[in-house]
Amino acid sequence: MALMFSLAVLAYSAWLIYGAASSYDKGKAESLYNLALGVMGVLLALSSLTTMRRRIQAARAQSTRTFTVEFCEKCGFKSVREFRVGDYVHKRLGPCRQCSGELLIEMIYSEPLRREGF
Amino acid sequence: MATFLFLFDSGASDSSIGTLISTLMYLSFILFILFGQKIQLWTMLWNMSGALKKLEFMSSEARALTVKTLKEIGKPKEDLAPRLNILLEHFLISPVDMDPAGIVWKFDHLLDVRDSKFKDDVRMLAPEADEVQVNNLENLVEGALALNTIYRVVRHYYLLGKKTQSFYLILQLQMILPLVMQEAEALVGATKAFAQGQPIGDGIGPLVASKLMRNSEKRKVEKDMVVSEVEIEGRRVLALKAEGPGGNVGKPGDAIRQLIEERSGQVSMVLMIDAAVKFEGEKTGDISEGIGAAIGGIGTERFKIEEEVSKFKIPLYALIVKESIQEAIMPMRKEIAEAADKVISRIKTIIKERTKDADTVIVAGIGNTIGIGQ
Repeated sequence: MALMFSLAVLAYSAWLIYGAASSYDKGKAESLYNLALGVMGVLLALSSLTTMRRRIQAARAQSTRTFTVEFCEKCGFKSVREFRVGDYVHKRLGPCRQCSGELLIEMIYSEPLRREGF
Repeated sequence: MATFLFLFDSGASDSSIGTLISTLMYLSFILFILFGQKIQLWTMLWNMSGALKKLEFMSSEARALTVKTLKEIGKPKEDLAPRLNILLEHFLISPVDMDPAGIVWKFDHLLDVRDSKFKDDVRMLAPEADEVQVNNLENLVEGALALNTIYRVVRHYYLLGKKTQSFYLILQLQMILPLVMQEAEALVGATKAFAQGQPIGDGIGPLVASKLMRNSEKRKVEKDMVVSEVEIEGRRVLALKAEGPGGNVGKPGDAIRQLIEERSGQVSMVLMIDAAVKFEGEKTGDISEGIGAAIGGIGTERFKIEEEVSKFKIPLYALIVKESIQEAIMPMRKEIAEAADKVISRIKTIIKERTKDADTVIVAGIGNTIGIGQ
């Protein structure tokens, strides 16, 4: 609703500026009023659209993804996978895939899904 | 009427449009002078109603997640809703502070009663959950409770402002609303972490302690805490944390007091590691050193630690890892997890510089140990 209103204000302001420009040639004083109103309308509409875009970007940036780092102390084997319910740091996972050592969870961390921006 | 008909006279259309615009501009000017504050109030109320709807949605989302997780893990036989609704409006009345002497012990007792009752209520809601799961569910319910409280308080002031048409009441609410919304969004992230048992930013202290005590024998101490004796740089280090991997903060004050009493005060240093709020512009995961008891909460645990170290004149150092309030309760970020190894190097440096060989040092990892074992 707010988006449609901003776009409508932007379109009407653009029409006012066009009307002001075309009537300026005919030497009419009211064209200045229309020009001023049109410029104000364009600025307000752009400001509103930019704010909406920033809110959407901020909402997207908050989604995160969690990863589990598996590590073998004996051979140094490391792998990163998606977090699973039941994972916890220092959980023993069984034998290492590469040696006879024990695989355990070294780290669990999260990262934002998208880059945070303005 | 004549003016209106005049405006439609095509012969005078240009100047009449100009007159109309001028009249409208003067009218709007007068309107803003007379009713400006009221228009501002309506605009603020309109903005606030959007934020309130968002808060209501977040609160009901957290509640739905709590119900879903309780049913999945706890497999209750009866309807959850009535008991859960009671829990989501739980409160604690602080002891009266007119005569503050002894207030810490009163607070401590009330908090013990509160924790015990809350845990028992969660156990009743989830009869088939094990101890680790009960701790996680307790944290989840507390997260949903916090969101519900935020929503109720904001709604109260919104409705009160609307009822009384008080500009200044609504203005004050509007001023803090962005921070409140940030806090609420962080709590939504936190409830998801608690539901899945993921470590949160506040767990950096327990993470450091768990890395120190890896591959060593652990024993339980007061209350819901574990300690392990390790050797670092020739010193005897007692690494201490809350017992994980369930969501638990334990009672570090009682544990540190017990460890010092066991050794009759023969402890050279107490070093506490905790997460702390960073200033805007600071980098997440940066580490700072300081003096004092690095522990949050109401102050009861801090009081016990300070009293005990003062009694035996034991130096009390603090290492804090910087993060925002939101990062502290949301799933642990990579920068915070990676800071654990840097904290361990700093611990080794401090121990080497400030203590002698064969000295006993207590290193306490403070925070919520959800998703972190030992």
